[in-house]
Amino acid sequence: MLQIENLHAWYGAIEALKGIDISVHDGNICCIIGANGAGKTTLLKSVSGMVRHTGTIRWNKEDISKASPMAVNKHGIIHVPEGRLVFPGLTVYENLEVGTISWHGFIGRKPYDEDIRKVFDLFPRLEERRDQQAWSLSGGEQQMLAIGRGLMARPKLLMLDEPSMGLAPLVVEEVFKKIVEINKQGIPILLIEQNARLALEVSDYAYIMEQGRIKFEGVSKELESDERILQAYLGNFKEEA
Amino acid sequence: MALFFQQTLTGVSVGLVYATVAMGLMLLLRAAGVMNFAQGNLLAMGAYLSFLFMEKLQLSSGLLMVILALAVFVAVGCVFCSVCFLPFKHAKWPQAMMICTIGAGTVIQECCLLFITAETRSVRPILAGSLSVGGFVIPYQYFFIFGAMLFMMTGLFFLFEKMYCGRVMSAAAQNKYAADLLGIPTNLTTMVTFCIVVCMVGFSGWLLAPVYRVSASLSNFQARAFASVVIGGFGSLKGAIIGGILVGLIEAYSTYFTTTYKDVVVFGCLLLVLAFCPQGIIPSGTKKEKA
Amino acid sequence: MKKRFLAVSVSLMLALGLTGCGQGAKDSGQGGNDSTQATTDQAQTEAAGSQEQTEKAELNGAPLKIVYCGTSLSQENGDRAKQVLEIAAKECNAAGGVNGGEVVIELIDGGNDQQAYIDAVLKALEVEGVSAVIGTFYSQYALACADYVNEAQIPVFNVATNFEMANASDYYFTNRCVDTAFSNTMAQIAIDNGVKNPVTLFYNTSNGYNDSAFMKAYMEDKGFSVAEEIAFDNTTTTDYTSIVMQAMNVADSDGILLHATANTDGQSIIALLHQYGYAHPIISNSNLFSDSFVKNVGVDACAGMIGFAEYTTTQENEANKAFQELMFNNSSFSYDTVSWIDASFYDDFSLIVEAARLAGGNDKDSILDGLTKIKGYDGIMTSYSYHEDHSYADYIYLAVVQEDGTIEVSDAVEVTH
Repeated sequence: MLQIENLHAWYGAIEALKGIDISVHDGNICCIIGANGAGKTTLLKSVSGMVRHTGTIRWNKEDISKASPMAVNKHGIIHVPEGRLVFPGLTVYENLEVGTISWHGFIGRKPYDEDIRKVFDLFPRLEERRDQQAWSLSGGEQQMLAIGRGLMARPKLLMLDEPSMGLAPLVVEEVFKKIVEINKQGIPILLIEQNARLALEVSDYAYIMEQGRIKFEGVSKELESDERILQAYLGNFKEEA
Repeated sequence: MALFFQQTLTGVSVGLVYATVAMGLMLLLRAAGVMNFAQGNLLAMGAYLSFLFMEKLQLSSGLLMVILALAVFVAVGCVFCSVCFLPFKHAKWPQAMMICTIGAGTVIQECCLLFITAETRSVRPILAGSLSVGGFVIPYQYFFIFGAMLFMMTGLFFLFEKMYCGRVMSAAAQNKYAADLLGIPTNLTTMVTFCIVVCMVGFSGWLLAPVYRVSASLSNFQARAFASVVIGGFGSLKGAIIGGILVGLIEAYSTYFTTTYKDVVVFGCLLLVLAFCPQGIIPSGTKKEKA
Repeated sequence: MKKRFLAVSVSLMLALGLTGCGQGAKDSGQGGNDSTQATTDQAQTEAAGSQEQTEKAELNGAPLKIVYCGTSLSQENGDRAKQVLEIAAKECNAAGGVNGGEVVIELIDGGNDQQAYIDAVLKALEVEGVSAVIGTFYSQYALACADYVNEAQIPVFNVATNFEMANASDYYFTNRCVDTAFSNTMAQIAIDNGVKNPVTLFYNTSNGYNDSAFMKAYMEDKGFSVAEEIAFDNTTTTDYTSIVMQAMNVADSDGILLHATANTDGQSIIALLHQYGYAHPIISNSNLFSDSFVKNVGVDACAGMIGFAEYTTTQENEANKAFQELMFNNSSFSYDTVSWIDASFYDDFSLIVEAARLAGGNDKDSILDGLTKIKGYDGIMTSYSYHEDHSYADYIYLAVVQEDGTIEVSDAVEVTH
C-alpha cells in the first residue's frame, strides 16, 4: 500500500504540488484525474524520485521519501512515463529485456523468459512484432510495449502516466481492457489520466487534482454520478452504463 | 596503374583510422548526445603515451605497457566524463557540453606537450619493415592497425548487439529519462561508454604513432572523422566505418590533381553531401519515435 | 545567487590570470624606469644577484638594449632565445660591456600567430632606448611589419631568410643567407651528384614556392630541368604517403630536392621515402641536418641524405666547442643539446654588439652604421660580412649523412649574392 502525506514538489522555484494526500490500497486501481498542468505527472515523478519534493511517501509502512529512482524501482514501484518513451533503436524484445534491469543486474544471466511469456500472452500484438524496432510501431503498440516493459520489472505497484494520450479511441479501449487484466493479476495500479470517463470506469477510487491540490476524492462509482464532476470534467452528460 | 592501387591501399588504411575515430564520435554522440571535439586530441594522447612508455621511460614489458595504458585511458575517460558531461546534464544551453569538450581537448593536448615532449618525435613500430607485393609496399605496422580496428569493431558489435549490458547501455543512450525511470544507472553507463571510447581512440593513436609520428598535428584527424560521420550517415556505426573509408579514399585520390588542397577536396565533398544528401550515404536506422 | 557569485569569481580569476600572463609581455613603454625594470628582471633569473650590482656600478654609459620578440616565450624557441641572450649579455657585461655601457636584454612575448607578432613588434619598437630587435622565423610575419619598422628606423634581425625582406625594409637584417643562395646551392649539389631532372618537394608557404622557383631557374640556367614542383601543406597533413607516392612516381625524375621542416613533414617524408625504397638522391635543406633529426627518424632512413647545413653540427670545430661549453657551464641553460637556433641567436647578439663597437655608440643609429662595416667576423655558425642584400653569412657547409648516422659536414661553400 502506498501512502503519500503532505507532498510538496518544486520545479526550480515553482511549487507544482501544494500538499497532496493520497493512498493506493492493495489490489486497487486508483486514478488521478485533472486538466493539463494540474500536477499529476509531478506526483508520479515525486514518487519515483525524479523531482525535488518534501513530505512523506510510505510504501508498505516503509518511508521512501528520499529514495533514489533505482531504490524506488527495487521496491517494485514502476513508473511508465507519459509519451510512452520506448527505446526507439531497440527491438520489441530488447525493450522488454531492458525492463528487467532493476532486479537483473548488469552482469550474469537471470532467466526472464517467463516474464516475457506473460507479457506476450497479455499483448499478442507485441509477440507478432517481436523483432521489429520500436520506432516503427504504431502509437498503441508502443503504449503496450511501454506497459509491457514496466511489467518486466516485476512491479508491486504500477504507475501509468496518461496511457490514452495521442491514441485513437478504439486503441484506447483496448489498452484500458489490458490495464484491468493486469490489475486482476494482483498488481495495484496508480493511473493518471485526462480522459476522465474511462478512468472513472475502470478504477476503484479516484482523486481529482487541480493546480497542485486535491479538489475531490472518492469511490469512482459515486464520483461518476456526482454533479460537480459531471459539470467540470465529464462534459455535462450522463454516462451510459 | 600501380600508383592507383598504391593510392587505394593508402586511402583504405588511413580511412580505417578515420573510421575508428568516427566510431568513437558516434558512440559518444549516442551515449552523451555530444559531438566530442576532443577526439583528435585523445588520439594524439594515445600516440604521446606510446612515446612516453617506449622511448622516454623505456619500459621493456609489452604487457606492462598495455596495462598501464589501459589504466591511464580509463582514468582519463572517467575524468573527461565527470568534467565534460555530468555537470552539463541539466544545462539550459545544450551546446555547453560541446564547448567544454573543445576546452578539454586543448587541455589534453597541452598536457601532452608539456609533460611528454614538445617536439615531433618518431616511435619504433611493433614490427619494423614492410611487405612488398607486386608493385606495392605495405609496412607491417599496418597489419597491426587493421587487426586492431577489426578487433575493436567486432568487440563493439558483440557488446551492443549480443550482450545484455550492451543493450542496457544502448537504452540509456537512446532515452535517458526513460532509462532513469527503469532504474538504469545512466551516469555509470555513460562513464563506461566514455572509457570505452577513450580506450579505443587511445589505442588507435598508439598504433598510429610509428606511422604518423608523435606530434600535435595528429589532432587533425578530428575534422576528417567528423566528415566521415556526416558523409557516412549520422547515427549508425556502419555509416561511420563506410564514411571513414570513403574519406580516406577521397583524400588519397585527390593527390592526383592537387597535393596542397587535399583538405579542400575532402571538405568540399562534405559540403556537397550536406547540401544534397544530409542524412548521409547510409541512412540511420534510429528514427525519432512517433508521438 | 550562487550562480552569480560563481560567475563573478570565475571572471575575477580569469582577469587576474590574464594580467599575470601580461606581466611577461608587460612592456617598458611606460617611460622612465625601463632599464632598471629590465635589469631587475634579469637579476631575478640569474643565480648571482650580488655580482650584478657591482657590474651595474661600473657600467654607467648608455645601455645597449636588445629586445627579443620573435616567438612565444612559452615555446621552446622563445625559451631558448631567452636563455641564450641572457647568458650572452651576462658574459658581455662581465667582460666590460659595450662602449662603457651594459647590454640589456628585454623580452616580449611574440605569440603564436601573425597578429600577436605584429603587436609584439609594435611594443618592441616603442621600448625606450631600444637599440636593436631580434625578430621572427616567419618571413610572412616580417613582411607584415615592414612598414612599422621603416617608420621607427630601428635595426631588426630576423631569423627568416626570404629575399623579399630586404626589399621591404632597409632595416631588416638576417645573419643567415637568403633563400636564393640556399636554393642555388641545393641545385648545384644536385647537379654535382649527377641529378639532371629532379622533383622539387616543398611546404606550401611563399618561402617554399620561392625556393622551388629558384631551384628550377638554376637548373634550367645550367641546362637541366625540374620534372615537377610538388607542394604540400605541412600544417594540416598527417599522412604524407600519397604525397610521397606522387613525388616518387613522377616520370623520368632522378632525384628529389626537398624543402621541409624537421617536424612531422620532414620526418614522415624521409621515413616514407626509405620505406618505399626510393633509390635516387635526396637533397634537402638545412633543417634536416641535425643529430636529433637523424636519431629521431632513424639512421637507415637518413643515411645518404645530402644537402647543406648552416651550422657545423659536428663537434671538431673550435667555435662550436666554446659555445657548447659556454651554454652547458651556465646553470641557467636548461637544455641538454645545443641547436643551430641557439647559435643563431648568439650570433645575432654578437653582430649587434660588434656593430656597436665598430660605430662607437650604443644607440640605434650607430648600430645601423656599424652593421655596414662588419667584415669577416667569426661567429659560431659561420663567418659574417655585410652584404647588399642585408644578409651576413659568408659560408654554408656541405652535409652528408653517413651510413653510421653521423653527419659529415665538409667544405665551406661561399655564399654567392
